[in-house]
Amino acid sequence: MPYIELHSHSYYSLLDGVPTPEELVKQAVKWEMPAIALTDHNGLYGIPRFWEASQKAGIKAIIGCEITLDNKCGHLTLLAENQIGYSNLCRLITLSHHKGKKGEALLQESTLIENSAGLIALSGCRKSSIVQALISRDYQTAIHTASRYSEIFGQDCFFLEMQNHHERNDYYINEQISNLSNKLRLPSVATGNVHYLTSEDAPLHDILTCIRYRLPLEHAISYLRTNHEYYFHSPQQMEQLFNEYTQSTNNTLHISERCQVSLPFGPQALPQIQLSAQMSADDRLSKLCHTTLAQKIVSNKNKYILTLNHELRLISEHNLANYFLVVWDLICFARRNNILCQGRGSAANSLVAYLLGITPIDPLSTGLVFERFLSRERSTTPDIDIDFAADKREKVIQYIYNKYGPEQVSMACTIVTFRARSALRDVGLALGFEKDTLQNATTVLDDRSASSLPESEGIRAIIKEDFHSPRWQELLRMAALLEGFPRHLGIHNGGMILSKQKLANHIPIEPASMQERTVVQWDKDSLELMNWIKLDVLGLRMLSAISDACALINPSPELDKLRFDDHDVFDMICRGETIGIFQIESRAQASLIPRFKPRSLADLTIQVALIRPGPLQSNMVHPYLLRREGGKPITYLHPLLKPALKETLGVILFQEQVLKIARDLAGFTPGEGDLLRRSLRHKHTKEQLKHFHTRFIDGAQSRGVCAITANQIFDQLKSFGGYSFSKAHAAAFAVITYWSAWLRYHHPTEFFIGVLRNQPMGFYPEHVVISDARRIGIRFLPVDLRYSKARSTLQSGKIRLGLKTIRGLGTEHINLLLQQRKLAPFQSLPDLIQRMKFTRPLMESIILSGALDYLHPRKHRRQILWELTDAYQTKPGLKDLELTIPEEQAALQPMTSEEEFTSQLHATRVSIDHHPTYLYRNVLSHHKTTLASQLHGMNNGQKVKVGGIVVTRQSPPTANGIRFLALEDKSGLINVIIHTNTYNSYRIEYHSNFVIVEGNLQIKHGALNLIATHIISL
Amino acid sequence: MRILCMILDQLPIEVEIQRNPQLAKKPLVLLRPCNQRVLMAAKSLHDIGISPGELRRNVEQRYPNAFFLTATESLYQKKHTKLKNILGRFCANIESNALGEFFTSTTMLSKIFKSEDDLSTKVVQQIVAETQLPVTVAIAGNKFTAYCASLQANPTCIIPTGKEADFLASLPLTYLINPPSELLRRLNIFGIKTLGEFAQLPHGSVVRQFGPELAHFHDMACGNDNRILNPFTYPPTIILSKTLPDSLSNIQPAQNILQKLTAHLSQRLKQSGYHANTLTLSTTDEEEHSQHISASVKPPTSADIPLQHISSNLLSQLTNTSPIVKIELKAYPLHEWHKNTHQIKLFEQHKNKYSKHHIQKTIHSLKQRFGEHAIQFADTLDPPKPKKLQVHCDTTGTPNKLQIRKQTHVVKYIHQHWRVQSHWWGKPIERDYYQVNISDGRLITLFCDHKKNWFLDRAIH
Repeated sequence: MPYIELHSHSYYSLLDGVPTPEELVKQAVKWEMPAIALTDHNGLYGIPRFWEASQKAGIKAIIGCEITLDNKCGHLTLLAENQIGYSNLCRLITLSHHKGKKGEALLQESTLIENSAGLIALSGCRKSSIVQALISRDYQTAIHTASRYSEIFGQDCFFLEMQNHHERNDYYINEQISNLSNKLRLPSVATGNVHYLTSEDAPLHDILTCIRYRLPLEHAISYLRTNHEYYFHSPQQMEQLFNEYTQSTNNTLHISERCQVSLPFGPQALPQIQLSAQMSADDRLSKLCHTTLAQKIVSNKNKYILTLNHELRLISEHNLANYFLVVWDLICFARRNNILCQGRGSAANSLVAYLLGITPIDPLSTGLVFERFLSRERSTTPDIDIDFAADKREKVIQYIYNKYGPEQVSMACTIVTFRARSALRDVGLALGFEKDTLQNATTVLDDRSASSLPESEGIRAIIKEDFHSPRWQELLRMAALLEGFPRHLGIHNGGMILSKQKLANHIPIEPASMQERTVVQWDKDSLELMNWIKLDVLGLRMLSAISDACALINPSPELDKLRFDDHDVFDMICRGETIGIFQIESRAQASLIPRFKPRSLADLTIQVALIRPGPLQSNMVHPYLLRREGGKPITYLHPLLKPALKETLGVILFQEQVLKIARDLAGFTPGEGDLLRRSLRHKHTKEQLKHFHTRFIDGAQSRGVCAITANQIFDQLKSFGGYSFSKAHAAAFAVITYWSAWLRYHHPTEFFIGVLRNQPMGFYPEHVVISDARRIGIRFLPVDLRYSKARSTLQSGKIRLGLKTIRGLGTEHINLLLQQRKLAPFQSLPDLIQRMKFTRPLMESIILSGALDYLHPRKHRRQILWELTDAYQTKPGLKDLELTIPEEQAALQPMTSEEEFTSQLHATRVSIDHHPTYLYRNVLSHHKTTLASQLHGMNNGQKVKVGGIVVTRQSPPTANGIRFLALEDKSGLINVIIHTNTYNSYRIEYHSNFVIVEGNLQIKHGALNLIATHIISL
Repeated sequence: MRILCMILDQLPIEVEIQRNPQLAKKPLVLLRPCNQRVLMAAKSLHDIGISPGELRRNVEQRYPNAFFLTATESLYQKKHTKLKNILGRFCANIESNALGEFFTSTTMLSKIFKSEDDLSTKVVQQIVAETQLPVTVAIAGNKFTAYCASLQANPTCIIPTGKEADFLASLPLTYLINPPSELLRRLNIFGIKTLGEFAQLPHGSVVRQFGPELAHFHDMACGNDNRILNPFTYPPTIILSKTLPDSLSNIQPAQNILQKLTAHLSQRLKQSGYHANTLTLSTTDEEEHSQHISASVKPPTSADIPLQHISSNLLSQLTNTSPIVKIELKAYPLHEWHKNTHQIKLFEQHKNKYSKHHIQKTIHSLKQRFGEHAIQFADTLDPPKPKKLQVHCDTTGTPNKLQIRKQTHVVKYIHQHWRVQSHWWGKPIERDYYQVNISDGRLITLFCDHKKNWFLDRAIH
């Protein structure tokens, strides 16, 4: 029976489809279809995956889309017949999104006329205008519409679509479509309008519909499909359903044969940097690099020139010279505009990148491997990631848009998928669970993956015997099925796509939620599949903080000239004074420092790379530390490993070391070594890994390594995996780590201003940063409407808190406030209200923060709050309180110091007078808790009680269920380790904000932890 | 006028303890049978934060020793009626707004009883004698003071005229009856904790601060309550409105405001235990033109999501030409599960005598008398049940003969065949429908369920 499915939806129809593109292809193969079309709603999001799966399965992928037309014209199914059709399809989808709101696509029918070439149109499902007219018995409109489409697409490119899902009126509709086909001499075609693979998946589709409309099932009946017939029918089933219209099923084959499209594989042609006449991009890049090399490199020049020429050759072979020039141009722009920036990731392995100023790391002196970035063997194109000061990143992005044009530039999208929390919440609401119940359940989830929900110990503990009730089991089962389902579209952190031609000819574009931003409909994985180059313009708040701090220091320090050898800076790090310092402030890093004791940039590079899932999972951290401390001799599984592993004392820590080991031990080329590293990372490529394993063992044996040792080394490489830093990346980060540490030591006030200005940032919340700054003697001034600027500032050697500290005061409010303050100072409460028009809750926040205390020095805050109502009623021109009748003034009691502290903390989230535990001082004293600073004088194993505010909670996947709390009291931070049994007994307390923890002190290698035995929530 | 207030605080708890004395002093929690949420918690638990509507799970986590019991609401209602009947022997007009809470006037009783002490003692004695329930009775110059006093009484309490404010002064603000959360929030930040502190604020100043609509709370705190006795109670109308600081011409911000109003409304309905039956949305534009639009809520509900859906639809149907300055959302609620509503059988005796016209006229009069929304039509909850049918099918399972009233008809033509599969999450429906012409010319719709039983859905001549 000849039949090809030309209308199918994958889960990229965003909450209106169940199967993955791969599952659709698999099912088509099962039904022995030589081709299949993917026609998701208003998008080509799933096309790259669909294409790849089809290629692997050896069937034809037909690219299409079910488009939504404006003015209630319904749906229309479009298939790309050739490359022109594909471009038109991309353009039409782009146009449809630009017409509607974000996430809503509506295409004006008129635009079809200009973009219909190369497209085959099918008249659409029940929501199409033709079927709607037939259902309303308006035969004339149906004729008129069909004729119009036939004119637009051409008589042989417009097909009347027939579907049969045993819905009411399906018999009638198909009969009428057949009549219409005969009358207008238009061909008809049968389609299945697939939304799920089998009828068993229909309930999941209903759930997705409920999530789309945010309704529980009971209230969503009118939106749900009436039956479970929208599954992937076999050709035999379709034959039965359309036995009266055999031509319509035969036509599916004709259409499939006509569709001959290939996808626009990359790397795409990039916009050209202006070059002088007769100079190619390769020449320009070469000239630039050689000129800089002559100036920058003083010794070993020949070695550098050889490396540079090798790199330039590879770059030229991959046609990437223009890409480097585009990045170089961007870096130049940033430098011209004093925007701190730095390349990260594998690009730092490149000497070219170093010479162009993209990264600060000299790859030769640091022992980096260029092939980690680019090699002859590598089939995919590499990305260059650049960090910019976060507050200036937008300026950089706008520069790119303006320089290359909005039609040539777009951001990569991210497909936000369901995880445990979102799946449980959304499915729960669809099944009619109460919000509170779901909220309680989501707070105790142990795993982020939705597929783990049916076994979730957290939920089992909180709902107890209900866990086995059919209702909960249904919820957990359904929610687990949603793992990885796309939920909505987001904007990638910084991935930008540039093209010489209009992007919308290759990939559909849609507007992002941010104004004047667009995103392509492919995410980073899809772009990589299609081999498209992307440029990651990332924002790093620490660079902003450093930049802000440097701007406050007079004269501004030249960070590029720092020598990374300041003993005082390293002493400070070794003392554990690391809050605010990039990458080494976390709880895990704090525990590491007493053992690791970094003394150089190379040490910092290792330290940054050490606390990563790769080294942790492959148990390489402790062996490394033992060897570093001299507790264990430095040994190698084979002497050939020594050159690669010498710098890390025989332990694998960096990705580059995989390349070096493969080279030294098994004779791999660096490019092959990188392919091996990639296959170790992508564990799904088992066959590829097997191939590398055989080659590795053979290669090693040919170099005299015995098979057992070779296998041991390969196993180590496998467990190391890919979840670690490349050395280049770690080294680039270590530079920022050193800069931030240097600033913290030499210019602490300015450093903390920088850190506070760029919150939220790093590991700790703002109040912890303030407490730490206070502990080292930095003085703070409260937020004050007369002096405070938007962010924290330096005032007489002290830090004046910024207006942003006040809860509810947004950027727009602050800008307006500063503008008004510049015109004239605020004289009174009514004056402030009349000029600013702030809402009452916001005014209350401002008053309670103390920012207005100066206006009424003789009144307490409660009085000012009381007068707020009068102030709102005061007419412009009248002075404050003129309307208040003296005998009607309310006599309110002033706030106690505790009340004032609480309200201020609530209004600003920070405190510059007391630590938040001040509120619980009586309880803490009653429980006889010990201060964090006193723990250092105590003994290992000693029983102790501590109390404080919970600063962070962590349950790293590498910790086998152990949880960590960072607790802060007025004297410092305490690391609390909670073993699984304790956690199971104190789940709710674990999630409290203020706690008392009782436990045993663990002092190991100088690191101090508290092993919790009891937790009390305050 | 002097008001007598009789309260059996925590009537359901007391009734349960009376049924089962060993529950006394246990941290008892009564759960609603329909959703296992807290209906009432024993005072010891209530005082430490267990409030009605909470999930059993939450209570269990916080207070593992709590003792749970499924509530028997009809029994509490019965006891309540009994208490009312006993009090009714002393006086005629009794107002009751909640279980175990009664107000009545003592004006006509002063001639019968020696004193207010005598009256209150006798009421308590009578109640205890007949029900053994520990009621408290207080008499004061107004309803609020009497209510507060009865909560403090042991078992009786008389507040002399003019001493109301003194009595109330030390009581916390929580004694105020259903105060808006904003009032309590602001009083809290002003540092006012008791009714006495509230009363000390100058009245004019309070009116300016909170608006005239909340001034009566201050009056109450001062010991003044001019609410009259209201022996009949109807389901209330809940009105929420928002005057916008800036007029809105765009629908999206208006939708956002309406969303918040609806969420608040849903919360109010849940708190009061009502379901909304009708929603009315009114908007006022800059030119002070108002538009109103209503929709019925089927089935009545207090749930946020369906109410959001309806209110949002209502707003999209309104066509304001000028920017909106005020949005008002009104709900006419029903008691939960139509509790406490009465079904009136108006014409049962002489069914044939009355026409549709008579019914409409009577309903019109009733609505005029009691208000538009006091009279509601009951919906039939289930559609008429389909009739079973004898059907003969061909080999493909398609009907070709059927029997109606013992007559066999041949299926002449099948117009349509469709399939319904729904409600998989509850009672699944799986049906294959056929619309057919039979030999006598009728158009029949019949269906076959998942057990292969055939039913007649409808027949048209």
